[in-house]
Amino acid sequence: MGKLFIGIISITLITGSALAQDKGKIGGRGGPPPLTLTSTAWPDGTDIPPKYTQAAGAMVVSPKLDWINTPANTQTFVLLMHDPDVARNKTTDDQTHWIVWNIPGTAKGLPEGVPLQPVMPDGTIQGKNGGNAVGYRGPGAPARFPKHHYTIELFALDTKLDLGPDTPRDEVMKAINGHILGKAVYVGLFHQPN
Amino acid sequence: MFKKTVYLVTVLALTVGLALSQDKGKGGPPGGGGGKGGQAKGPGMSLSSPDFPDGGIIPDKFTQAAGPTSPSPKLEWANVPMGTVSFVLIMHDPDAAIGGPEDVLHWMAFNIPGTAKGLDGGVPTTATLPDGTIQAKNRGGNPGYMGPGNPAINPYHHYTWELYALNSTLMLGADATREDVLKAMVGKTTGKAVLVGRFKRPQ
Repeated sequence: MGKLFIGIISITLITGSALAQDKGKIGGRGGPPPLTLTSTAWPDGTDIPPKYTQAAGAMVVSPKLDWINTPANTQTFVLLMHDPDVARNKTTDDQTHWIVWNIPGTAKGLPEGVPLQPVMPDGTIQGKNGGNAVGYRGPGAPARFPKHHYTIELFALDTKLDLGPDTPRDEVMKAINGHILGKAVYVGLFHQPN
Repeated sequence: MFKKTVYLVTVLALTVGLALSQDKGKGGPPGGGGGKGGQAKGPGMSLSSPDFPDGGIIPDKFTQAAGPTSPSPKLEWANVPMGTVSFVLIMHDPDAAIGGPEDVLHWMAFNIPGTAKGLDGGVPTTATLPDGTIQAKNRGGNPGYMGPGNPAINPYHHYTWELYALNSTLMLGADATREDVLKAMVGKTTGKAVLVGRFKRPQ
C-alpha cells in the first residue's frame, strides 16, 4: 500500500516535470496546432530567388509570407528578418534586414513587395534595417562568402507595442518579453551569384 | 577668397566624413568575414557538416528520436580568420520562444582551440574536454550537446549552429550562461559562420 502510494507520487512528479518541460516549448504536444510561417517564394531552408535580394537592385521586393494557426488572443505580430552569419564590429550583433511590429492580430500574412514606409494604414510599423533605411532590405551576402542563412522570425503577441518607428531592434525585442504567445521561423539561403 | 576656400574644404571634409560613417553603419560587415567588416577579401569562414546538407533535414540518429543522449553531428570549418585564438559554438532552436525572445539553447562550447578545424561526431557531454574546451549547460541542464526534439505536430524547427572565431579565450567556467558568454565575446569576435538543419520527430 505504502509502495503504491509512493509509486503514484512518483508518477505524478514525473508527469508534472515532463509537462513543465513541454510547456517550455510553445506548441508542444497536446497544445493547439502551432503557429506556422510559410512562403510561396522559396521552399523552407533553400535558396532565395534573386528577385527578393540585392541582386535585383532597385527592383527588389519583400517575399509574400503566409501564416496559420494564430494563437488565441493574439493582438499583434512582430516580424524580424535577420542574417545570423554576420558579427557586426567584433560584437555578437547580427544584421537586421527587416523589423515590423503592430501587424494586426487578424493578419494571415504579408503581401509581396510591402511598401518601404514606417507606418501603414492598418497600424503596422516598420523600423529601420541594418542599412539604416525603413522596411525590407534584401539579402546581399557577397559571392565569395558561404551562403548566409536569412532567418525570418514571426512572434504572436498578446499586446500592441507602444513604440514609434525609430525604435531600435533591441528595444522592440525587450518590449515583447512576457507577451509572446507563439513563434514561427522560416529560413532562406543566399549569396550573390557573382 | 580665403574664407570661401576654408568653408568649401570644411564642407567637403564633413560630407566625406558623413558618407564614410554611413557606409560603416550600412555595410556593417556584410559577410561571413564577420568582424572583418566585409573589407576582407578572403572567402569568409564557413561551417558545414558531412552528416546533413545546409538547410536540410537532420538525420534521426543525431536527435532525441534516437534517445536522450544522441551523438552530436560531425562539424567542419574552413577559412578561419588570421589570429584566431579560440572558437565559440552555440547551437539553438529559434522556433521555440520560452515566454521571451531568448530561444532554446541546445549546445554551447567555448575555448575550442583556435587550431581546430572542426569537431568529431559524438563530442563527450562533459563540462571540460582534454583540449581545454568548456561545455556549458544546455536547456536540459546538462553540459554538451542536446539533440533536437521538436514534436511531430510542429512545423520543422530550424536548429542553428553559430560558430564564432575569437582573438582571445574567454575567462569563464562551465557555469557560464549564454548571456555571460555573449557579453564576454564583445570586442573579440573576428569571424562568424552558420549552419542550419531542420527537424521534427517522425511521430
